Amino acid sequence: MLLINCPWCGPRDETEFHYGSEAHIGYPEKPEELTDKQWAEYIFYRNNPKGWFAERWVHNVGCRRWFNIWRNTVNHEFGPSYKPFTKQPSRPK
Amino acid sequence: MDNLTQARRSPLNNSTLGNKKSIYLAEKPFATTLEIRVKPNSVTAKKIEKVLKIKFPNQVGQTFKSKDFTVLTLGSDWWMVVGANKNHESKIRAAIGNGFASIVDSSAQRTFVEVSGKYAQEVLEHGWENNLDPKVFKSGMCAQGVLSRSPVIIYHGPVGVYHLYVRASFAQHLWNFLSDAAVEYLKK
Amino acid sequence: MSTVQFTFDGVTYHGNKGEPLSAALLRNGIKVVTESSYRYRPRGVIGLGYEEPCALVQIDSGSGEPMVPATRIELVDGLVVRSLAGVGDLPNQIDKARYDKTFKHVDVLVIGAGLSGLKAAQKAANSGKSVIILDDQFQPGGYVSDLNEKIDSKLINSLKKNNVTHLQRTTAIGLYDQNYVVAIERRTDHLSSEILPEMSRMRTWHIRAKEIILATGAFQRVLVFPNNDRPGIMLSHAAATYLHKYRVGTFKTGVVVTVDDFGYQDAIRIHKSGVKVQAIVDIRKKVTGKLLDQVRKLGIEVILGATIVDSTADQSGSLNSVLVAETNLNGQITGTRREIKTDLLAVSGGWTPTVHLATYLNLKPIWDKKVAAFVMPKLPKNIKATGFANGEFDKVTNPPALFFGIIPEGEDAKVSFIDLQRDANVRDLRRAVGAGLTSVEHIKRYTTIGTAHDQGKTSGTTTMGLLGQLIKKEPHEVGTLTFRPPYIGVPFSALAGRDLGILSDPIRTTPIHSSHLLAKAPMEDVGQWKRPWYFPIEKENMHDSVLRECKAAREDVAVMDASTLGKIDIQGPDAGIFLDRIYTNMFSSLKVGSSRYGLMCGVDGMVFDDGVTTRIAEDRFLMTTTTGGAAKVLDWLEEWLQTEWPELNVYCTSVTEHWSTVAIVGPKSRNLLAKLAPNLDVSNEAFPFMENRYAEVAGIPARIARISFSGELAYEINIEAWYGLHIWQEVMKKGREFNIAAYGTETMHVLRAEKGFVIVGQETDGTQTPQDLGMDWIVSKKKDFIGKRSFSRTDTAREGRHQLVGLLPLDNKTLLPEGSYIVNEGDSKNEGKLSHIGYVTSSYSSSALSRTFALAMIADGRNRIGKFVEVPIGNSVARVKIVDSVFFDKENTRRDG
Repeated sequence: MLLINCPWCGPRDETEFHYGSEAHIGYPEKPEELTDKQWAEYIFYRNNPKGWFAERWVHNVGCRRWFNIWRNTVNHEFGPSYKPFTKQPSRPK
Repeated sequence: MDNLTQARRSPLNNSTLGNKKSIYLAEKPFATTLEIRVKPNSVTAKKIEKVLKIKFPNQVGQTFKSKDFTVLTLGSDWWMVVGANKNHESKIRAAIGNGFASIVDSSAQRTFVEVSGKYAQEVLEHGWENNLDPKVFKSGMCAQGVLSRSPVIIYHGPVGVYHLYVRASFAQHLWNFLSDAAVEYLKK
Repeated sequence: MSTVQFTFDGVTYHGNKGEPLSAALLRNGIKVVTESSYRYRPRGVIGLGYEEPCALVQIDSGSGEPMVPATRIELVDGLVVRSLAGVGDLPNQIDKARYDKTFKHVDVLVIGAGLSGLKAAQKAANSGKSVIILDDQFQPGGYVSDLNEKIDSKLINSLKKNNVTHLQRTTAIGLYDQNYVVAIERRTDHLSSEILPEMSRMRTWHIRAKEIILATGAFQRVLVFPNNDRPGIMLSHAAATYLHKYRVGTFKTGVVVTVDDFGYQDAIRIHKSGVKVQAIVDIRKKVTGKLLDQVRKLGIEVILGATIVDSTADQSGSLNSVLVAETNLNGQITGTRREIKTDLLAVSGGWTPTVHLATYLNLKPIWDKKVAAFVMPKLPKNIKATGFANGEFDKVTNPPALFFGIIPEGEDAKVSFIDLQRDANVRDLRRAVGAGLTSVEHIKRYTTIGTAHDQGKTSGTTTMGLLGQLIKKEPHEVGTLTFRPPYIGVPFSALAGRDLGILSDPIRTTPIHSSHLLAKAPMEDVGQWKRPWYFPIEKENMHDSVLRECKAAREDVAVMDASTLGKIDIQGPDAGIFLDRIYTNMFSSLKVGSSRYGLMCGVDGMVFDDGVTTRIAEDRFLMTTTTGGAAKVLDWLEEWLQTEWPELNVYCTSVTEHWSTVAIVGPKSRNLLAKLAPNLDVSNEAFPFMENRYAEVAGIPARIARISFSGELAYEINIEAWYGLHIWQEVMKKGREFNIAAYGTETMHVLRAEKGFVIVGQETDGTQTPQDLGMDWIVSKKKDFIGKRSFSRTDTAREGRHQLVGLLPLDNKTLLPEGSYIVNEGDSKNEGKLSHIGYVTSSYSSSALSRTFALAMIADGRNRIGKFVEVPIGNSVARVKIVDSVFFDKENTRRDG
């Protein structure tokens, strides 16, 4: 069971969170101006790297806040978590 | 009791179980509860604090206690005020005017179960995944999480006395769980 | 020490309370405990703990547990066991014992209470850290305790003083990410052979530790040679401990075969217990030091550069003699055989540190030639290892030999066992290599070595060593076996804890639930909710009950508990704009006091949830969601507010359980409401469709919404949840004169289906657009909202998508099974070449239509209206007409009463 560091509540068990996929995928400003391909990329396409990955979680049975966190997909090690609209901490080594 | 109060039914019929020495479970009466969401430290937040004569703690898990209210910090902009009465909602609305805040009377949303006795912590630890070590989860702190897969807020009142606020639809399940978990400690 | 009685294979024996069952069996002269699973060879006790590959028993007393090593059962009065050959019996009855879990957080978790573990715990506790120490033995002390040496009582007491949680009989079975350990504590089996009604038999500990110290010790290995499985051949540490500590006097003489100095220590212990050790057979050619002098002084012959190359048995199958011969480190016999009569052979095949827990983190153990074993991998900074587990075998003066046994060919290979429980032998290994396998992972699956209950604790390294010898590689070059949790066999009941029966999943109930139970309404599971399915009167079946309930709703008045709907209180000046973006239709234009049905889609344009939302005030809405969708929708709203539109001043709060909702439905619902709320003007003009009024209902302040999910005149009475039961009872009482009937989810489904209203999750599965459902009318052209762009994607805009239609079976009694597939007319006969043009989503018998009907999703469905299709049902075929999805009151004349 992962231990996830909520930026507001501190480290809590994975059971209190829901996963929100890759971080920093913004809703396009003008969807109507996008081609089908560009729109499909927004909806369906996500990175799946081996190693460090910035992803979103929501502390849904706790403070109900969404946030971003670095996670290493190889060994589940976590890097820093950070609030939305704040500067992304650099990729952990 | 007026007719209105008589017409109320609590999810657990004010059940109790156990003994106060080892482990004691009790459903407590309804308390008017307001869930307040407002930008912390904003002018509107200050106005609400003034009306209720409370302070909104800044850190999730911290609480504030006054003569009339217990204020639990559930989120960065989310507080649960227990012990208000029916008029407080309108008083707050009048005070904040056009200020942006959400005031929700959620008195019936949760059922209040008190867990106390020497083995209260141990009984809760059978289903609560977060740290209940009193050196970490001190008296006067609160936490939201799941207890036996039910959404619960735990407020550590006086040392060793835990107030559980469980979503009302889960109350019977939680009671069944706690009663079963208490069995081993009843005669200790 | 008190004497207790126990039963083994139907015979009563005596033993010492608290000793391992294996010790008591041996003392009672039971050397043959069982026979092997596949070759039916007699087998006895080999080891001392969970490494035991052979001596398995089935416990028949107490809660009964199949397949437990006799080495791990603590003798208690009244214990009943029987021998077991490989496969255990599940008890026939339900296990009445209790099981539970507990969750703990500590600074330091020490796994293993041998001397190193105890010292590590003491050090951590002295520095003020919170500590848990757990250990799977009956007593603390580990190896030292086996040697029958006393652990300094100050050490144990200092742990007590520092409030260290000290658990014996507790095995860490798994180590997971971020230092999460799961351990099983056996709490009652040593206290009583019967079930204790109030105390949990096993407890699963879930421990999150800032730091973990692995003091898990090590296991001794077997050596491979022909007939190395006879009862009487044991690991030397186990043999010495049984004889010396537990005073097992069954054996007359002994021989020790060794690759290291531990064999000498064990020989001394065996000798001291009174059993004459005739020889130590050491594969090493040169040995020096005190131990050697000591054993020589005791008169024990030391045969160097040799090993055991075969054994013989007596009539019972137990060891009778061993054959010794000079052998080189490659396992080639170079000398002549010499027979030594003995009934005990103690095998010291080297020690393997118990690295299992660390490898669960996907770390590979490292081969250490010095100790001739795989040792701890490089550990993360918050996990440390100490003692034997860390390869610290400090008493060694002569390095151990890298030797795993001899590798015979022919018939001898068949009886040279590597994994004794699986009866896997050298021939199996040779065949695997012969088949071209070189990876130890492949070998494991080909030979089944290491796949029994013991997971190869004594045989894993041996396999790698022998394989290396066969293919001329170092042990580590053949790769390591992957260990997986749990570390030992664990009963499912221990993992389940008290999550059984009604506690297995939360059962959510409404404030009116007790009344539904009294009415004997069968319940339907809707997510975690229990909802009344139908309300049978006397012996009515479901079909008749539902027809009656529907008739009441269409002709008189019927009432439903709608409290389970999700409810979200949405406040803030931008609430209207927010809802415009969430829903496909407009909400900012909604008048205060009015309600509107809304549909929300995902970014992919697929229907996600629906419900009626009411504008309570200029800056306040009350949203309702589907019963199952409440949590999902709230997360969704928060996601957009927090991560996309932080500029919107809107807050959402769940109020699902704060409100109870009682829906009254039918032409007489207005009359009923008038009775319930005498101060409310209920006329159509004063209280029109989709509006809300506040009034006292049966004396309780209520919000009444005139909304309808059935097409009938209907009202939803919303009260604070604690009044739910009171209002329900009042509605039933006052409704009697209008022939009121309570109805459940089934009737609700029929009524809405007659009107062609969809249920998200029944007509939809996440691949339907509003247009597919014929709900173009709810999709705003004026504004952007979540999912809008997707409606013009090639795939969503194409012709021929599955569309919602109605179905009428030609035989008006045929009920099409929900989920049935639909084929073109005449296609049912074309076996194997069916056109699959759609599927049935909802299907009911209708009282109002006096026939059966269904809803379906059919490719290009709306263009096929009027055509006939077929629905195969088992071996028959139903002929069905495609019709419009609205079956009843197409003109909406009934909703005003």
